[in-house]
Amino acid sequence: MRETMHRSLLLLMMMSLAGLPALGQKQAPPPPQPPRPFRFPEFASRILPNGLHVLVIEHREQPIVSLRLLVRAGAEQDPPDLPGLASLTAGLLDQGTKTRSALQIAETIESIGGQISTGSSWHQSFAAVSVLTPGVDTAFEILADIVRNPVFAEEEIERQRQQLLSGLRVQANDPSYLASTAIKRMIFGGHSYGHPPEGTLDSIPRLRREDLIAFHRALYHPNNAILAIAGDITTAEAFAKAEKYFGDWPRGEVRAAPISPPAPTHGRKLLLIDKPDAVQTEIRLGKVGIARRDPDYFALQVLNAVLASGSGSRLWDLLRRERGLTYGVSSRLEAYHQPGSLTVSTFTRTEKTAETLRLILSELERIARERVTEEELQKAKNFLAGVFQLRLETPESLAMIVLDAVSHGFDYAYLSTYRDRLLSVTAEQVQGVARKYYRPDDLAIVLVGNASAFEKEVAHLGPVERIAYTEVDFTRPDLKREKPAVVAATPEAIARGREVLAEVRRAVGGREVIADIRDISIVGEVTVSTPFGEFTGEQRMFVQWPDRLRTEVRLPQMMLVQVLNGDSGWVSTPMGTQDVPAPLVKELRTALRRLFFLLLRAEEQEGITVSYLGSETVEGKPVDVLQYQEGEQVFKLYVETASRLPVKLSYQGVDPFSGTRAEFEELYADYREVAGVKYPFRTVTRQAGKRFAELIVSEVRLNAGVPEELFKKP
Amino acid sequence: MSGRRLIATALVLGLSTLARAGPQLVPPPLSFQVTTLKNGLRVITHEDHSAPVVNLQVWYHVGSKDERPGRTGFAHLFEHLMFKGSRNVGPEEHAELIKSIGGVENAYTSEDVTVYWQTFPSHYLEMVLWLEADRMASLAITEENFHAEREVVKEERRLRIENPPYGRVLEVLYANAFDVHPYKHIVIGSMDDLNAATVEDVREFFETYYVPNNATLVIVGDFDTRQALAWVEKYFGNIPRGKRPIPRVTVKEPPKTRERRLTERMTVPLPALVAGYYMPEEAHPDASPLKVLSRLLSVGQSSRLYRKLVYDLRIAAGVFGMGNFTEHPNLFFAGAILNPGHTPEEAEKAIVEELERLKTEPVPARELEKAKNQMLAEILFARQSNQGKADALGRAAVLLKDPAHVNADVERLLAVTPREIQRVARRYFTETNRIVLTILPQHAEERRAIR
Repeated sequence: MRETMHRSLLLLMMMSLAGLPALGQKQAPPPPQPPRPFRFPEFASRILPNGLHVLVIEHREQPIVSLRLLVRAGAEQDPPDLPGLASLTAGLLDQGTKTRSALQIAETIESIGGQISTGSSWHQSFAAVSVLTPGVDTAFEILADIVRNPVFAEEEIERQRQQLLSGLRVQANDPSYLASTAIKRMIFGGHSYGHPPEGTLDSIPRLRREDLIAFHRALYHPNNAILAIAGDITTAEAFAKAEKYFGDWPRGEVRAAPISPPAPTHGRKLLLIDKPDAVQTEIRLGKVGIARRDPDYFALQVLNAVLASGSGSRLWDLLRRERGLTYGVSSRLEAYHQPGSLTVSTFTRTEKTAETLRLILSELERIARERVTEEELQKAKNFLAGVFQLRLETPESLAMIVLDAVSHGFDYAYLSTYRDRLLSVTAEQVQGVARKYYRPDDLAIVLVGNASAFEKEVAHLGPVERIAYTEVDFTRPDLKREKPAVVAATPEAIARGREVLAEVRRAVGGREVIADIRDISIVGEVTVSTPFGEFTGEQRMFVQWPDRLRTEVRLPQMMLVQVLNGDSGWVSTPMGTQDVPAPLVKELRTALRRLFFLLLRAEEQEGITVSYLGSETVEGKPVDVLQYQEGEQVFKLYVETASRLPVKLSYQGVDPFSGTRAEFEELYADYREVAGVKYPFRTVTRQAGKRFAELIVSEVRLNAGVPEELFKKP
Repeated sequence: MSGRRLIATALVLGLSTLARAGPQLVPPPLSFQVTTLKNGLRVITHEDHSAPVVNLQVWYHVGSKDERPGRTGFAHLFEHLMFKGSRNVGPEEHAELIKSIGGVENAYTSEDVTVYWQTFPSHYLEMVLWLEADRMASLAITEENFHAEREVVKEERRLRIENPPYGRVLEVLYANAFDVHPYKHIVIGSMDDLNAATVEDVREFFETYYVPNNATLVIVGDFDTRQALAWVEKYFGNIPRGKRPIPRVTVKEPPKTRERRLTERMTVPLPALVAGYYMPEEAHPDASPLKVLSRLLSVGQSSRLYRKLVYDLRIAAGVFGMGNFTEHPNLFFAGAILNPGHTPEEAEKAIVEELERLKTEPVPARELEKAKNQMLAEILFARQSNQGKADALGRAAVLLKDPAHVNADVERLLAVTPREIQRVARRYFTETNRIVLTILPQHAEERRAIR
């Protein structure tokens, strides 16, 4: 209705504006012609004696040959505690072999005008090389070398690890990523399909070179691989070259973990990932779907397109056109070797979260109840057929379609009838799969946003769980980061803790001197490893007892300042000065409590319990361990038994680049005396076992006076 | 039916390529057919039946350089308005129709042209021609959607130019490099000018530039040329020629006699340096050696600027060096974003040293061959898709004035010699022929002082 009025108004405006002659009815666009004749390109298939499956797709228009080798070594084979292993292994294939360095490989391919890429998906890893026809032998030689002889050099692993981590750190703040990753865990739980194939902030630091080598040894064999050769080459020549470059790759024993079907989704459950600063909510609904070879595959694809495939599809019209609740909504069918997932994704303004969710649920109910119209059906099928047709354009994308089909056990007949199968889906079939798969009572739901604003409104939709986004650990099936173990402090442990702390104070310089500290100034040189490389600068730290801390880092032509001033805080960078949000103020306060001298004065600070945990060894030396507990915050101080000097502090802190929690350790060394007190002049901070920062102190001043202005926001 | 009114059909096959000694590949020419309707609409077609897909593009020969003073950014704003509906098509309906058949579509605006394109299943060709003809013939714009879309464009300016660090570098460089030529403003234009634009301007712009005699239609893919041209005639044939002559930019930027230098403070994390050298238009014979040169300097990890500034000296976090090849003379710029602890002066010295080396030492044959291989590969890889072919044909026809350039330029590129590279380096990379822009971060302290 609204639409029609809008249109006629528009026509009037057009007449006056564009100076058109008086007009009658709007013309409708011409209908499509019958589809033009098309036959799926033929391909040849042969299996070499070593088991390597070779496919050839001739495509002679441009002088380009593309090679793509698939190995059945996808993310589904990642061990549960090592998400990201398949991906990192594949990513390192072209980063050095027994006879070629990473640079040599890049240089060789670059100089013949070629392209090289490697990567992985759920079921496979791949390596691909495309070259101008004269370079075809080089392409074969390099491809065979990188797949068979990668060395996984430590420094290349480290380089890629840092890149992966910096990407993940950015994503850890991105509500869309959090929602899409969490819904998979909600759907699949501990099943392999539930883990993030790109790895997690917790798993990537754990991957070792031996893990990569073992993964490669177990799965990268010719009898576990398919090679596709597409482009400007004859079939005979292609098979001959496959034999020449891959024929002597010895057959091997494939040690793949069996992947069982995931448990079907029963009941409804909601997960709220709380990000208090979000103004939008990312919404995901999902459940276990079907395997790729399931006969329902085509009908379910059509159903998906009826639900959400842009303008004219149900959820699009309902949420966007009629109500303006979102900019986009999509529905996705991911079919794997085993049943995969069905997901609906959208986002909306925080205050519209519950309304949007209710509308989606009611639409899912309706689609199972009412048969789709002939017009909807036709539109959905045309859309899917078009998407398929567009993928047939280049030899590379053709090769990908063929490989995908062959790796799922399909043949040429399947591909050549693919479009017809889509177009022959009926309304009854669509309704059948809607009833079978879209029961709104059996759904996992994830909402990422300002949870307090909508938690009450969605509570009646099913059991709700809520997690702060900083506490999410995608490595774990229940998504919850392991809390640091808190040992209940007995009166004996507290008493013993006091004794040890008193001993430490004596070793450092005496109770009176330490209790008398009112302010501290520390100057030193700090080196920080960041996603952008390593930086060295001057660091100055100013503390005013009890609740003020200013940290400055000066790099050439740039200064960064971070201040805690009682209950508030601010930061200043070349990009501007800003207040820090409340959760970060809390973090800054915790950071202040972890400073060396403040640790020694724990008893004076309200709410902190220090207790004795026992003895351990750090780098071969016996230590006594003290637990500091304040609410949920826990850190441990390791005191060398012989000298009574602290040697290490460990805690869960916030990774400054992602805002998520991570394990940190500070190692104290080089104790020197300042104003009658011993102070560690060198501190190395490690994050997840890797060096993160190092501070070399040049000057410490106690009670020398720290001006108030340093803490005031400019 | 109105009958066929095709007045000039010329079948142009690619120029035959000369056999060349050595391992160099002889690229297959791209064949095409040019047809011009009575109303001046030029149609370029290329059949390729390997997949049931068509890419169709409409090139309007109007870009940001054609905007009148006080209306910078208008050509790009207008591009957005072309999606707001026409006589028979509702707002956003064009794009939605393409998407609903599994197709993809978009548009872009440069200094010289505005291009609308779509890739779709081939049996929808008639519908897509109808859609493009409808918006060439008529434009439906209301005060309301004009104002709404202007806000979208302003947001795009904030997103792409004002917010990102270094987003304003090219705007500042161009504003200072050009005195009289309209390349002095960037495509997105200024906020003030965008705010000043009116619906009246929209109509005038449409009537002046969005006329068949200022447009080139490029169709590539799975269709029958005779049938396609009949549809073109049916839907575009009745659109009248523009009533007035199309205004063209004739002003020329006078040659520079003195080096220009300036320093700007911006909200960036690290200092940067950009050196811009005046260079000729894309159709100029020197453009090919300059393109090879830009490849040698800055594409890939083995390029000269990357090697020297990032790898060897470690003074830069990133480097760039490329020509902005356009219809009129433009700039070749080389520059770097510095690593902490290094100064723009160091970067300038290193960059100038590399440019000087190009003048004194001939490029080794292997390095040149590698650069050419890469450029040839880039061209041919793009031509695997209909869109890549249509892009190349449209560019040659509109910007280089003759679609035959699509083949001639590949030959020209492959024929570039080390001596030519030395010659163009000597000719353009001189002190008087450049503008040097230094970008420094605003210190936290300074921001405080400004307050």
